[in-house]
Amino acid sequence: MTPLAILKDSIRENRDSKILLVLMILSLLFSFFLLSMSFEPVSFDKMLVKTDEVLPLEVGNRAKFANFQKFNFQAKTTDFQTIEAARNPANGKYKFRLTIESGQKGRIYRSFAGPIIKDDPELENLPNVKDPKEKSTGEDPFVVAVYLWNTDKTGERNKFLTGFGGDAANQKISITPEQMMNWVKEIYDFHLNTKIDKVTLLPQTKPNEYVFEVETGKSAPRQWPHGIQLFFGGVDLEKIGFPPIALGQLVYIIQNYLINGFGAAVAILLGIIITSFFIPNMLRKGTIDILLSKPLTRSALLVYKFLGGLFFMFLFSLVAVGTVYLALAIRTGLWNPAPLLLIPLLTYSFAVLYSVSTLVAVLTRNATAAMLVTLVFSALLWVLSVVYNRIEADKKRPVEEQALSPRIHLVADIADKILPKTRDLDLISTKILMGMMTETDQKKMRESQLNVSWEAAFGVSGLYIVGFVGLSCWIFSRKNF
Amino acid sequence: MANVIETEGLVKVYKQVQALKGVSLSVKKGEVFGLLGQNGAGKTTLIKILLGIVKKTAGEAALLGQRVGPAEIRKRVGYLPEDHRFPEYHTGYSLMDFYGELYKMGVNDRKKKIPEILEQVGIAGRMHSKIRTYSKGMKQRLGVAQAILHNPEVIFLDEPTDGVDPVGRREIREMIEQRKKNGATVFVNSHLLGEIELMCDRVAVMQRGSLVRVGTVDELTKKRNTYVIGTAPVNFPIESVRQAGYAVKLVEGGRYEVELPENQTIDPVLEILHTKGFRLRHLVEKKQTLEDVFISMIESSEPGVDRARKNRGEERL
Ligand SMILES: Nc1ncnc2c1ncn2[C@@H]1O[C@H](COP(=O)(O)OP(=O)(O)OP(=O)(O)O)[C@@H](O)[C@H]1O
Ligand SMILES: [Mg+2]
Repeated sequence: MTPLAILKDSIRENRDSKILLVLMILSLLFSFFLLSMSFEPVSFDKMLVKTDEVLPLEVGNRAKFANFQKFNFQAKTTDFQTIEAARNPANGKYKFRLTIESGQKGRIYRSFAGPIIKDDPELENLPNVKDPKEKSTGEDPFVVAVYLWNTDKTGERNKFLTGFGGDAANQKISITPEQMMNWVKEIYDFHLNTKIDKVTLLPQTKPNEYVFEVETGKSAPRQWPHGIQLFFGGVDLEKIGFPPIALGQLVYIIQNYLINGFGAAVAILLGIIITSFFIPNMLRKGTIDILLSKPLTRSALLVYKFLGGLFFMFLFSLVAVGTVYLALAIRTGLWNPAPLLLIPLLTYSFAVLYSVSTLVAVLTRNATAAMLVTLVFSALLWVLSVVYNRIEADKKRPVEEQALSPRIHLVADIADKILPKTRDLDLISTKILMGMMTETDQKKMRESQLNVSWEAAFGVSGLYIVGFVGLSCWIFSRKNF
Repeated sequence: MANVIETEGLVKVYKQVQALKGVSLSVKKGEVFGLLGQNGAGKTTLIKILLGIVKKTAGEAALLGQRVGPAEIRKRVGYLPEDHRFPEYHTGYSLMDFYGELYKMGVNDRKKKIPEILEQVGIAGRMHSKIRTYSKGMKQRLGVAQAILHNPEVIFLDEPTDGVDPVGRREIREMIEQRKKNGATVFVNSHLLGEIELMCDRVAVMQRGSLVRVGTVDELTKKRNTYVIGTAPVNFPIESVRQAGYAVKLVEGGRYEVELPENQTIDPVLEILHTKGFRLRHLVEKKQTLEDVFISMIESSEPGVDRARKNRGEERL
């Protein structure tokens, strides 16, 4: 079979260059590093200690203020009990008592690690707050916190609040016990990665104190915070300032930033450099003559050779992503195969760039030219996507606040429609990798709010691949050698 | 169709150079055909057009009875290009295997034939070494091997013995002979005229993109109207023969070269010798080597392409 023969030839060429071997060894080394990591689920009582500190903070964090805000209430967990023990603390069931002691009325929040704010100049700058001092007068800070949670206009409480105030500034605040209990349930689920089965608000004994009886349910290990140790326990990351993190999040971060981000960028860069030699080498006088005298059409020859170059990238992604996936899966027990989709996605992204390289190679028969043009092309796509994101953000603002003219928006939209979407392919990879986390954890990520059209990303990029390779074939078929 | 190769008024114009200026040529099945010509005469261009490596500008070219172009026909054709450069990541064996696959030879067929043919060209002992470790001659032998691997009906060899030692050259000649016996047609470009003389049935001489002579080796090397005569006693009657209108020249070994005037035969000279009592010891119609023919042909016609470059106005388009 001719295609197979040329593929085998490409493999031989790849193997001979040794570079693939080097890359594979590097990714194996990285996988060994990952294998040396251990992930220890945090015990529940330890998590609760953390809860006390972060609860007011996390609530404040939800509101979109300019600074980190801390609500003016204290949380305290006591009477910790294990209802059902489990080897993995994530699978256990626990019971505890949460006491919230509200701070002084009217002083609702404080800036991070600062004094309690009375007249916060920052607040006055917020567009929707007309009179911050009046708005915050006379209310119990904890009640305001729960109120804010419940008046989240987006209807999706897990999203970040889009503004503080609005109607809230002028309305009488009232909160039912059910809303408070729901708040506890959701805040634990969303911010502290713990499933809550049951919450009971005990009868109030002091005016500013709220006491809840809380029972947890089984949580998924991937959402449970884990402490990380490197080099077979040699380095404890928590001791050097990295707090425990949900396992799914961790896998996502490694996969998305180290592999899909950094790793893919390096792989594509190296891929461009290495594969840029394949076609010019084939087109050298004395080499191409023989190939052209064989019974296959020039287009077939070029297309197979193109696929051979892609195969290089495929092999490389297969090894790099595959080993990292295996290492992480072995260490974390998360066998969700989603990250493996990175292999075809990376190859597809690369195909767009390699088709440019092919065209230049056929035109110039020069590896350096092919390499440079492709590098410039990919850099240009990247710059354009960054610019486009900026313009897109501008377009989403209210008309009065837009810095750019509608014409620029239009040009950006058209450019976005017709340019190959390597960034979108990248975003698709990110979306796929997000599947490693629970839905709640996903919603914490800003990426979750980005939209991407799969059809457009694959379709437009595909058209480019077909277009460039087609054009290359057309030119190649007409050349004298 | 009896003609394996057939061209009619074939023209090739590169950007600046007119490489072929209307070449009409036919090569019959089973022939070994040699194409001679100076550097840049257009020999390689002709082969490349027949193989579809270069596109013709005008005229017709057919191979095995089909117009050149479609890939399928090349299954029956073998080609050794000049200045070939094999991918160095291959070994001799793997390269042959790769090409064999492109010719759609089966696995077993390849396994059987490749060592056989590499043995024939004398590099079987190194067939599993990378090509980059081969000497020039070894690469050339490999090139010949890949041109005959799939038992092609037509074989194009562009400078087949380039860089090959004398023993290897003979082996290659023998191989060509053997292919011919099997019914293959062989088309050879070479500057080694002695070799062409030894192996070709017919020869064409190309000069600046046009064919100037085509014929069998005998036809080309026979110098008509000149005889070499040796007599006893050796004092040849020069004056009498000259008076009869013949040009006479003493050549080595005490023999004389006699050139006939227009429409005259050698008989009157023999008559003179007879009457004067000379006894004939040697009488041969004079032959030249192909090299003599070639050089005299080149000298008598216009200069070759490369030399013509100097007067650009004429040669460039
Ligand atoms: N690809 C090309 N582009 C431009 N000109 C070319 C090309 N190939 C050949 N030529 C020109 O065409 C003419 C014929 O070249 P060709 O290679 O056919 O000569 P040749 O008879 O094979 O010479 P040699 O004995 O040196 O191999 C030369 O003048 C050469 O410069
Ligand atoms: Mg030549």
